[in-house]
Amino acid sequence: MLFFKKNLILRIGTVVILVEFLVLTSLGLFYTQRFSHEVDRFLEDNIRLPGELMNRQLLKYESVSDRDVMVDLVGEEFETGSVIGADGRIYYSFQPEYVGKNIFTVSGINPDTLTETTSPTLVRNNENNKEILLSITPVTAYEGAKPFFFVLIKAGTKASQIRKKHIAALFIFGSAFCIMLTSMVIIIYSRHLVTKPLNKLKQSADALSNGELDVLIPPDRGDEIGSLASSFSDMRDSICQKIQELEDANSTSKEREGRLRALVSALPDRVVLLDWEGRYLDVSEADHDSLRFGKADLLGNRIQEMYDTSLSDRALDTIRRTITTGQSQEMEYEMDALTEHVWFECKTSRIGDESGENGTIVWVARDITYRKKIEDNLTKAKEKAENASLRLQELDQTKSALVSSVSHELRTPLTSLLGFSRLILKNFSKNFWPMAKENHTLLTKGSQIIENLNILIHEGDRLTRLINDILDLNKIEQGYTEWRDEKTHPAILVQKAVNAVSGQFNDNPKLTLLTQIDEGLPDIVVDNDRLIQVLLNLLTNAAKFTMAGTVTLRASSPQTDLIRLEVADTGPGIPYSEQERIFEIFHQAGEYGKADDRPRGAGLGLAISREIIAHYHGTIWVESEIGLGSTFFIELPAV
Amino acid sequence: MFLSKHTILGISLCLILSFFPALPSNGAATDTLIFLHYWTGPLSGGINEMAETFNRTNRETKVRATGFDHESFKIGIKVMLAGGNPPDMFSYWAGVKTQAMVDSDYIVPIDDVWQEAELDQIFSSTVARACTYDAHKYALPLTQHYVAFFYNKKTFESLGISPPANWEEFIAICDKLKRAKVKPVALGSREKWPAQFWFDYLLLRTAGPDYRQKLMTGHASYSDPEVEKVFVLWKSLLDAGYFNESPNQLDWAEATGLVQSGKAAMTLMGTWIIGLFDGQLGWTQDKDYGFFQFPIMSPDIPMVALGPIDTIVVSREGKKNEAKKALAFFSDPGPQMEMSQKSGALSPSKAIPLSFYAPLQRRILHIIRSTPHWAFNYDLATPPEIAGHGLEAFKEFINNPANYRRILADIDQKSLQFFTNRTE
Repeated sequence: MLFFKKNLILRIGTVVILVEFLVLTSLGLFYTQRFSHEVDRFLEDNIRLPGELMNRQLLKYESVSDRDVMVDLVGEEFETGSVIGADGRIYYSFQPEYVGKNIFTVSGINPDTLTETTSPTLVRNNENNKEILLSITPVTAYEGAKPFFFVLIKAGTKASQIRKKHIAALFIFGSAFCIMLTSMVIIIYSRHLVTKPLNKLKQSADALSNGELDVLIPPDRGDEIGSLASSFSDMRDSICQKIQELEDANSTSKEREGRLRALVSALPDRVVLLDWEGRYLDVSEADHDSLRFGKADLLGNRIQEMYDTSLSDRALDTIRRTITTGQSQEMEYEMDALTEHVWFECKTSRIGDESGENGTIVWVARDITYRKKIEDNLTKAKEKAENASLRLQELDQTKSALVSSVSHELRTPLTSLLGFSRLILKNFSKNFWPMAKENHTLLTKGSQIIENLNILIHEGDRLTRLINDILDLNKIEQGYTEWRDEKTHPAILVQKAVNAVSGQFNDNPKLTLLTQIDEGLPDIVVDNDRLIQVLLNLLTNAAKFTMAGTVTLRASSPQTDLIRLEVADTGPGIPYSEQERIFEIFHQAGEYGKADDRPRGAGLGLAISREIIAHYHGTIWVESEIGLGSTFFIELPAV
Repeated sequence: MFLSKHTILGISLCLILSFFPALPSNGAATDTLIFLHYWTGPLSGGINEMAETFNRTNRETKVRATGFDHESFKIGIKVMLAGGNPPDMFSYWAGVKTQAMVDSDYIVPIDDVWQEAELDQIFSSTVARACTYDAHKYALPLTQHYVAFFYNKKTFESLGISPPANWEEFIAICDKLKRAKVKPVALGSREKWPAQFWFDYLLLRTAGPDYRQKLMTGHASYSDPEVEKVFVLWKSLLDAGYFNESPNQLDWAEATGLVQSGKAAMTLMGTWIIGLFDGQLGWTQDKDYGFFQFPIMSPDIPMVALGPIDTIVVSREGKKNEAKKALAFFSDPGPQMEMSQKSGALSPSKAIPLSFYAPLQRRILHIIRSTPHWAFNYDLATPPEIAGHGLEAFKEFINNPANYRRILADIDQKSLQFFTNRTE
């Protein structure tokens, strides 16, 4: 049975034989039936023939006594024949002794039965266990006439039966022969055309599976086998190519795997592969000797079997979310190690899709115990810092209040001091000089007093400026400044600033103030006073530190939404290291010698200018070169 | 699209009239007479034309001429008559056969037809006698045939042979023909009756008509030396190889074919052979074939013309009156000539002018009318029962000429028995 199942040709052949058998049996039954019917019909037609011929006067009545004629017409089955008159008298007979006798006496046929026969009749009878066929053909002289003769022809059916059996036997043997022959032809032809080539293909396939990639794939034919062989050949080539690609990929993969392993090994993190039920598939050999379970303990077991519920439930939930969302999930957890409490931060990712049966979860766990500690510390530090910040804020607020209060408290008496100083100066000058006009000593003393008063007034003014600047800066820093913004053309601001400082430049004939205002400048929205304050600061500084040359105030628009104001001088320049510091509080630009009678600033002007420009989201910076001068740039957004 | 009233009326009238194609003027129904005849096969020709002529001229009665095989007719008609299912009228052979019909009361006299048509004036006395049985006319003669030698003229001329006047010349011709590898005589006796002509003429030429008549009527014996002499002579012809091979295997038409093809020179046959030669074999009288009388064998023996006369008789069980009317019509020269022309047979009617016939037929007619004696051929001259035995005897003799004595003894016994029983 197994051999049968394994042998394709045998199975096909068996099916073919069965089909042939069925077809031939069906055909055989049909045709033997047909043949049998034809044989019977042939006999019936033949047995009727003498009567029909006699009726058409194509055969003599006496022919019924001629065996040769009767056998020629009826066949070998002919037994006897008679021509009987309507009165029952036998006129002609194959058996001469019957001539002249009545048919009833020799055959038992009733003459009346004959007279009732008006058309050719066939009767089948059994005589002595033998089937006989009897043909009765009435003979008429003309149409419409009653029969005057009846031709009786009797024939046996034995020969017909034998012929039928011969036909059946012929068919059976013929069919068997056909079946055998066709089966042999099919088998031989199939073996030659199908089995052998398939075996060769199988051998080639086996060789291919054994790794012989250069095996020849026969046969070279144009039919389906050839097409199959061609496909095999293409498959081999494709396999070779795939193998090569796989080898390359494998090589790359191994390399990557090696790198990955090295990477994973180098990772301080623990990398775990879990299935979707939380079973450990693989565990990296990270140095976690402190953990309770090693790789060997975990492999094959599930999380919930290894750890307590609180951890395993969270872990499984994380796994579930990773599976369903396909996105990495993070989780922090702590677990008891051998000697300490360990914190891990894990990140998961899914290998495979949501439905995958072979899906894997990559669980990368990083020991964050130290970080946790740091975080704790930082948290504590932060708390401290926040507390300190709060404290500083409080102090800052206290400072601002103090500064404001002190400033106000200082400015008030200072205003009085300056007022009275100026008054004293005025009155002294008015009243003392007349009194001391001839007294040298008084004049000298008086000059000293005037000088001291001027110094007092000068310092008082400086102190006033300092207090004003401190208050101003404090207000700006605290946000208490009231900004009166309005749309202004830069040229107006430039002109106003120039007008304000022109006196200072008039005092130094070696210094010239120039202005350059580009055409088509856009407007800006600023507090005019504040911006003029900034320009004044810069122009004042330029005038203060530039002994000779020019100070140029430019207004331009390097971009459509930008206004640039420049104050460029030909002064000594500012060292690079100072260029940023000059904008710090209380930092003064330039050097003051002992004999330098230039008024010293509080060091707040540029800081205040920066605060003002920063309020309008602009920028202020300086570019300078020692010995060539400095240029202060202000850029503000245009309207 | 629409027909006019006149057109519709016309069509309707036509349709109505088409249902009455054969209405007789007096409104009477048409009678159909069944006329069964044996002029079929090689003997066919003439009868259908005759019937159609009658039908064209008669509205009340139609004749349906139905042919029957010549040999089958002989027994078939008897069975039909015996079975009470005969045709209205049928062809029959004048002579003992008709006598048997009369004796069996199967047919009716037609004296009235003869009288009304004055047929005694039309037919010769010989013919009239042939139609008379028991003092009554029972038959209307239609054809008269003469048995003679019909020969292939080309064969004769090629060998320089002329028709023989006597027996010796005949034998010499046969020898000459035999030497020329031509069968002198063709005989097709499968149906038995063609062989009888040889017996008849040999007996008539050697013993004379009177003796033959005695033999035919049982007053002489088949054992007589006259009969034996005939068989000896006949045997000599057979032994000499003058006849074609296996005569009993051929019918008379096939034997005629041997003559036509030149394989045989001549055949002893009735004038119905003219119908076969002219009608079916495409021969021309006197050009392709000729005839001569059976040679004189003894100058002392009177010449006898031998042959059958075909007649028409009326069945007792049929439509007798209508049949008689048809017979009266068939006796007219027109139908007689029609039958003669198509069949090749001679009409027994004297009303037919000689000019109607071809020269050969005229010569035959001359012989018939000038020969002192007329005799029916064997199976029309002797009772049917004896004729049957006799024909069978001739057939057996042709197969085995050496057994002639036993054959004669056998036929003699049967004849004696028949005639003795009939007398008693």
